[in-house]
Amino acid sequence: MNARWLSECVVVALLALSAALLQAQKADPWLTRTNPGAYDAQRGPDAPLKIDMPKKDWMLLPASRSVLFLMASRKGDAVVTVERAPLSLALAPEDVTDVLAQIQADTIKEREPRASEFEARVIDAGERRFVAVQYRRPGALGAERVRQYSVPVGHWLYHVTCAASLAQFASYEAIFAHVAGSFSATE
Amino acid sequence: MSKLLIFYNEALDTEVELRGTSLFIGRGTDSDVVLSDPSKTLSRRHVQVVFEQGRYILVDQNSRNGIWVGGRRVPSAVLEPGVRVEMGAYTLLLNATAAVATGDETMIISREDADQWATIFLANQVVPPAAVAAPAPPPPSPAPAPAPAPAPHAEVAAPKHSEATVITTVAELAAAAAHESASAVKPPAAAHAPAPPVAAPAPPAVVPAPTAAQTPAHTSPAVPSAAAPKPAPAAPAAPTASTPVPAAPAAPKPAPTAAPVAAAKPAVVATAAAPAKPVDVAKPAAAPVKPAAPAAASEPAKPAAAKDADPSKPVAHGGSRRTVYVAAAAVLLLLVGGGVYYRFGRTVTTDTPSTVVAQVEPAVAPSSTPQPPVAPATPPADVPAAAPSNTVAAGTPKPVATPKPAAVPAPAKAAAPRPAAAVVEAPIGKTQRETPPDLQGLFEKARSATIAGDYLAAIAGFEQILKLDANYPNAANLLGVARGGARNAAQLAIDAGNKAEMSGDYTLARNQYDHAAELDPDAPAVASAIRRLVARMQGEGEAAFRSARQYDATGKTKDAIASYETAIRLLPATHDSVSVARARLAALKGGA
Repeated sequence: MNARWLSECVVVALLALSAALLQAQKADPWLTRTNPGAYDAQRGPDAPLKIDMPKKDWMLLPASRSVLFLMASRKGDAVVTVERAPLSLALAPEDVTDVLAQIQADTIKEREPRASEFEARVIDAGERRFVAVQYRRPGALGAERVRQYSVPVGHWLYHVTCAASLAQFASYEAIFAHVAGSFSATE
Repeated sequence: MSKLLIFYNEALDTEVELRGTSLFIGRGTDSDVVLSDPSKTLSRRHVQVVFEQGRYILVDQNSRNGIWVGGRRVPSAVLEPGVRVEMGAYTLLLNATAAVATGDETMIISREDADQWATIFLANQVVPPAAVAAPAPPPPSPAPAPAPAPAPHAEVAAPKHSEATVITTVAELAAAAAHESASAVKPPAAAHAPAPPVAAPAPPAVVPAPTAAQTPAHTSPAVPSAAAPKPAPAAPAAPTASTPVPAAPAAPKPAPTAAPVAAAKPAVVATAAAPAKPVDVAKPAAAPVKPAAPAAASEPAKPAAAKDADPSKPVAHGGSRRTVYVAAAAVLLLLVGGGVYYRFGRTVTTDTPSTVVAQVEPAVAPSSTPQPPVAPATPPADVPAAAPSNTVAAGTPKPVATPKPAAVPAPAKAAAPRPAAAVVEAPIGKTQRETPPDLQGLFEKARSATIAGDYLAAIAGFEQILKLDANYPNAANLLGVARGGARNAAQLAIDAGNKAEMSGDYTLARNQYDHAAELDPDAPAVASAIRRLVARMQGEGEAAFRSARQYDATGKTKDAIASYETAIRLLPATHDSVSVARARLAALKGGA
């Protein structure tokens, strides 16, 4: 009896481990939700959106007209904003390709001519498909690295922009990945 | 014995006696008849002369330059008098008189006469001597000759060969003409020639030979006198003109009442009144009733022919020349007959000349002269030989009895498409049938298509030919050649399609693959290439559509339009995205 129970437990454990490994393989480091207990879900005040914010060392800032959601690290060396832009037609997840990533990169270049070190990619996240563009730009306190996540929702294209000083970006990268992954919006 | 006259650049080069066996003619020394051919226009074995069913047939031996009849290249041709067969710089002619004398025997005309005759033909001036004869002055009197009793005459004259063809008839005519010559081998066949020719003083040496009515009677096998209720409405005696008509053919039996003419005849051209009117054929039995109308059915003369007449010159020819003239006249009739056959015989039963008569009758110009009635329901045909004469009559502008000098039938040029009549693949049939397809034309087209690389057309052509004639020479071989060419061309098209596909020119690639599929539907590479291309085009079309949507959504109108257009071009028209793309394209262009 005990032996049988033990063997069943081993099988279940192996299956769970395999599933975890598969999930880990599928998960993109730019968009991975980790340690959900360390975040609080936030809702945008003026838009039907939802996004996680770390419980510690992060603060919610008042949004402006164009910025739907704004939070920053208490040290002031990292910031996450949520914005949106209208689309001429609704894009389904399958419509999102490298073309959109390139379009976003080109748009950023036009907006921030001094930006550099661009890297654009498409990230599958289950039923959603994100476009992520990472680049470097000069900031008030020195160079910054920015990672902009874009996801179409109906006739809107939401942008979750995560920025940190060049030196600290790596330390915030996991937080950025979780926050972006937690983003959702309804049209 | 028939002779084949071979001319080089219009000059007699070689004479070949045809003895009913096959022989090869060519430039090579292995040919039976070796032609020097300085201009190298012949192949080593150019043609073969084959003797079949009493006819000599020239068969092209796949020579480079082929054999040509009437401007058409033909694979084979029946050697017939008057038919010029060209091969390279050489022209082949069958000795006419010998040929028409049933093709195998009795060389009647001399070499000189043959040369002269052939020269006439080569010059394409088939004008019998009567054409240049002086217009005959009015005869002193009609001099009705003692005519044979109609019924016996008709019976006697009725030939047995009810299935005689035009050629046979002309052969008879020529033979009869030959018998009239001094060197005739056989006894005078003009035994039933009535007296008029003899009685006539014949001032200008134009002696009317048998009456117009007699010829139909001779050639009408089954027209008993009782079957001719009406007397012939033959023209009144107008012997001033006479048309060359064959003298009395070699009848099975001589007419009992006929006077032997040959001895009494002066040495003049043996012209005779033509059985000019269709009525002569339609009512042949009536003709003998009017023996008093020698040469009555005087053939209206063509002005052009009369123009050449020289009244000041009495015609007095020697016997051999006369034979040539008569032979020429016979051949002329053959040509006319050939024309009739060509025009009508291929669609109308050849042994129902009455149908021909009915068809050509409307062509006769109305005249004040009483026209012999020609009933459409004329009893058929038992007068096959009369068909050519009828045609001559129908084609002439004036009816019977119009006194015209130098009555000569119109030169047969217009009505004698000799080559067509001589081409093997258009044989004379005896029953009603459809016009035979132009297999030779199909063959030439298919062969040209093969040479031009249009293998599909070539295959279709050869298949059609073989469907109609499974044994058509070379068709099966060339069909294989065309199919092989099609396979090679298909592979080339696949290669070109691959290149185009790799370069992104999918339209060209698709065209190439489709062409390859047409050329060789069974080629497995074609199907796989098309499947691959279709999948590639669909994938890229869908990608273009997605790109277009993203450009469109983000306001990149120019890029969106280009991408939509690409999607429309690449995707099949039935694809769901195409209609969306078209709509968005219209909206963007309208908005732009």
